[in-house]
Amino acid sequence: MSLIEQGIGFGLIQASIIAIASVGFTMQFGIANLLNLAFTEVMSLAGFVAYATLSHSVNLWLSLIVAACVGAVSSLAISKLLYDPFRRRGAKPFTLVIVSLALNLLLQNGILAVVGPSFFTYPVTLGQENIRVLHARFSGDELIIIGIAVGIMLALHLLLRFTQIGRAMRAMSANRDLARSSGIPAARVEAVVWAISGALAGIAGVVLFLNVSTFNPATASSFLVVIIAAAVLGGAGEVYGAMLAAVIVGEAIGITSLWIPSYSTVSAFVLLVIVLMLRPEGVRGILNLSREAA
Amino acid sequence: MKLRKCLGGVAILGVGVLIAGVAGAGLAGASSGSVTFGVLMPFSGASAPDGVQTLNGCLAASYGIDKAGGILGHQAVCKQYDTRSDPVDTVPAARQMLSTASNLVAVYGPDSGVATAVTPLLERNQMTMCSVAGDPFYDHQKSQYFYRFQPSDDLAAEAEVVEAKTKGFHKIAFVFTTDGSAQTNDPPMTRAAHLLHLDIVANQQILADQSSYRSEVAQLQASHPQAIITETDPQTTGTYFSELQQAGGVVPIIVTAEASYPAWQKAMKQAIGQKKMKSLVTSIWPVSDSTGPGWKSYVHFLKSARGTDPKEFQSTLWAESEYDCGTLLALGMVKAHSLTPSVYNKDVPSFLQPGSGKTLVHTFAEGVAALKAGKSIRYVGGLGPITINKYHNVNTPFAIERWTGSTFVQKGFVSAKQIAAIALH
Amino acid sequence: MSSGLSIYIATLFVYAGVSIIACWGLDLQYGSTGIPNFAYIIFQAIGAYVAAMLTLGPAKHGSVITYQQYLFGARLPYPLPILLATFAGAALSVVVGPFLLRRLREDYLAIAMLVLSLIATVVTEADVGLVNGTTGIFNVPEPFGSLSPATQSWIYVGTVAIGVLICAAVVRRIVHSPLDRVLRSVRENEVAASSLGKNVRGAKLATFIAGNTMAAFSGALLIEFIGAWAPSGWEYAETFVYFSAVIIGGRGRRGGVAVGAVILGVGISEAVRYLPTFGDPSLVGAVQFMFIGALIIAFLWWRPEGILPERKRVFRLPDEAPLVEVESA
Repeated sequence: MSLIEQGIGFGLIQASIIAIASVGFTMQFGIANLLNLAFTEVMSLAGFVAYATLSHSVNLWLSLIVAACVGAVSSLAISKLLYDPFRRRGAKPFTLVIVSLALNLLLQNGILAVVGPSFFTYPVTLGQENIRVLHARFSGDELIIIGIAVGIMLALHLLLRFTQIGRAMRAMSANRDLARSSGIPAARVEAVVWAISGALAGIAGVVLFLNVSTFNPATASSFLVVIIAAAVLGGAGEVYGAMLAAVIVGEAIGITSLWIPSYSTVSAFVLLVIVLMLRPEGVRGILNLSREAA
Repeated sequence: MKLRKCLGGVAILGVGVLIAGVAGAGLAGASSGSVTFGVLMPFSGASAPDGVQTLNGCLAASYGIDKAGGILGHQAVCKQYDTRSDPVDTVPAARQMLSTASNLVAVYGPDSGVATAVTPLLERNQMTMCSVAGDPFYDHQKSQYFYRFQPSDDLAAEAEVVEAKTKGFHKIAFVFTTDGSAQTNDPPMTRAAHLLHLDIVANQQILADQSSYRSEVAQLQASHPQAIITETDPQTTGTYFSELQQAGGVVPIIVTAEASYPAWQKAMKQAIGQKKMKSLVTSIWPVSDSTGPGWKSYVHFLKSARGTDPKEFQSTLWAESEYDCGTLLALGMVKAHSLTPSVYNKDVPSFLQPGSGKTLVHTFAEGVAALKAGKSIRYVGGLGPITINKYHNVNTPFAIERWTGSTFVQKGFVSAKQIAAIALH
Repeated sequence: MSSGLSIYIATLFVYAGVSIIACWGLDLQYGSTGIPNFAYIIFQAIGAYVAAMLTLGPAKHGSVITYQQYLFGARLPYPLPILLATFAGAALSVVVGPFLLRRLREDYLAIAMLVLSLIATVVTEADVGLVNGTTGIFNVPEPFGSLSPATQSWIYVGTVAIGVLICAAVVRRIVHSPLDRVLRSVRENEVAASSLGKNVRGAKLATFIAGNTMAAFSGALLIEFIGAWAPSGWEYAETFVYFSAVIIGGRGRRGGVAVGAVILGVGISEAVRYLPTFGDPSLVGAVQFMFIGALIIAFLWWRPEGILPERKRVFRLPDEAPLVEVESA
């Protein structure tokens, strides 16, 4: 199997981690119209809480649920206590960016102050044997990561398509005022979105820490720009767009790593800058068209 | 508006605090009658662990000094000055240290990345420094105030390649990170490999702390190296080598002294498992003692001093070498009856020269006693017997370290002759 | 006053002056015109690197290898390196400005520029031949090196003071010019300004260049004093510190921004050094950044106009009552 094929396979694993995070990020972007740069610190917080539970012999799946809850609760708290008041005041988008950056600083250093500058590893050993899927070889935990991502995407799809709350979310994302005047309880739907996206952040944090094997309080924040890249590429608030974009970004990084490893993430960064400068709507335009046609 | 005036005063207050602090620090600080050893290292940011390690060396040395009655009756105090790992913040830190520390007698640090910004300043102020900067730039440095008790990065790098050759590997791969280890190691290792006729089948310079390296790992495997020479930080090590393990590509690994960090050891152990770590991982360190009386005293001081982390630092090279350097400078002060570096410094190098008729001492206390009796001393401390050359660089040979399951132990030496043969100078 | 203390205070003044210049440049861009230039630190870095390379001379001369690799070099007498470095910053702004200054949502533009900053750091570290990678450029000789350290430091304080005065004059000229009204109208409502026929693109480009030139100037001043410069000293978070200084000090007002620059650029970082060490050695650093983060949020909530808010402009028409133009945050 050629190196390129392998690279594509790896890009998929990378994409899985990015997807969980960027879908959460883009949901927050869509519902509140703000770039929550503290997103990765919620991931980090949940990841460290999971470390605590795992160290007390709680199994991985339960820890994952705990992490999701931590993410949900903290995201709800952040939105209610910090972002909503600023938004109600009519703060400009850039002000909110600064606020979220300041929050990022607060949270990251808060975690650092508590756990210290050392390195940590999750006390779990997942399947080490290699399993063949089609032509590619994946290890046990790589499959678990992909599995979690796919499961989440499916669950989200079902939620958005077939539940009342999901329809309300889509309506609000498309046209907020129209949705409200149609009787949709905006505040409640918003809260649900923050909770779900927060839960995604929590899960993403655990999955990230699992994948890197060794982590410290600064690990999650270096992931931020990649998440933003996927979210923006997919179009603000577009869940399906973010999923697709995560694959694109993951593959871009995976394939660039094959040739010039020292510039692997630069490819994603350059992609982001170009998209922002030339086509800020991302792939939303394409998706909108196809949806209307359906 | 009252609020504006109030907040306008905040600015004045801020400046006032600053001035007050500067003035006050001149008066406050360590209690009079004590001398300060300044620890000019990073205590925040990515390199914070380095600062903590150096601080531990200082604390151990100070404990040993104080237990023996201090330096000429003065207690030794360690004071931190955070360089924040960048030259822009190091200069004010150094200047603050030079101006506000009470009775500053010596400096622990600086480290690579900021040394070049601050060593001229320290030299101009005639302040002795126990530097941990491995920059080859200091291999021929001329200042009498600069000491370096770890070998140059160039020599360490060359030792790695010599070991690969000795073990019989012909096809080797390099794995470094772009945040410093590549720039330091790549040129000397590439040169050494060419001189020794080794084939570099892969030379990877990867971005540190990424979430995945599977592509790089696949690339490495495709080149079929017989051995990997590497230096990566603990997080990158964990990610990269666990993915290498998953891909089934773990081959013999030769690491730099990075492996002396327990954090690195934990990461590698988690990545490839104990069995592979014992059989495949070799680390090349400057020779250091781990059995002699000097080292035992060091460990005892480390354990007894307050604020130290003995488990983490009892076998780490920087802590040991800084402890030795500080103790030596203190002995210099005792011999010269002076706390001023320009006066006491000249005696220090002789304490490391072997010679007939010299009394062997292992701690500050022993040294003081011997000096009082008018003897000339040879100091052998935490690092074991070391010598320094005329550039105040240490002359240690390199040891081959193997993993026992809980620690690295010395199993042999890298041929010093071979290293000298390929060294540039 | 001991020579050591005098040098330390001189250092603080130099840093304060450099921070003030840098923050004024950013304020021109963000405070006056509304350009969220998160790539600001790149221009300060360029100023520093160019000044360094023009002072050190070429990387390899003759058979002496100077342990550093960088693109070009020349041994120019002081103050030529600083002037040329400043010009380099301006030149680069002219080149990248038209591409970067699109009519784009504020936060999108901010993120794009932040990412550019990140790319710059990655490229610098990966390509060692550019400006000596992670190790950076060092051993840059200080001007007036033959004098005693104390004298030299205070002469440099004088140099920086002159620089501050020059920049103050430049900013003042812009602020009291018709250009300034255009800038503010662009900041408040770009679409409206454009529909009124104002040359929005030209105005934005002008302040972009002016601000970045000041950034380069500040970088050049800094490196001639410190003697070394590395990527660790200009990470993208540094721009955030300058933004905080502008916001907390009071954007759009020179005095306010200067206050913010002194407090955030120098004050807090230096004041923290005097805290007694408690707990883990790295705890102080973490708490410092938590404090800054909380401070920014607090200011944005309770006093978004900053410590010294922007002055209200009063325009008096000949025979009518004065029109008061109120500035928004």
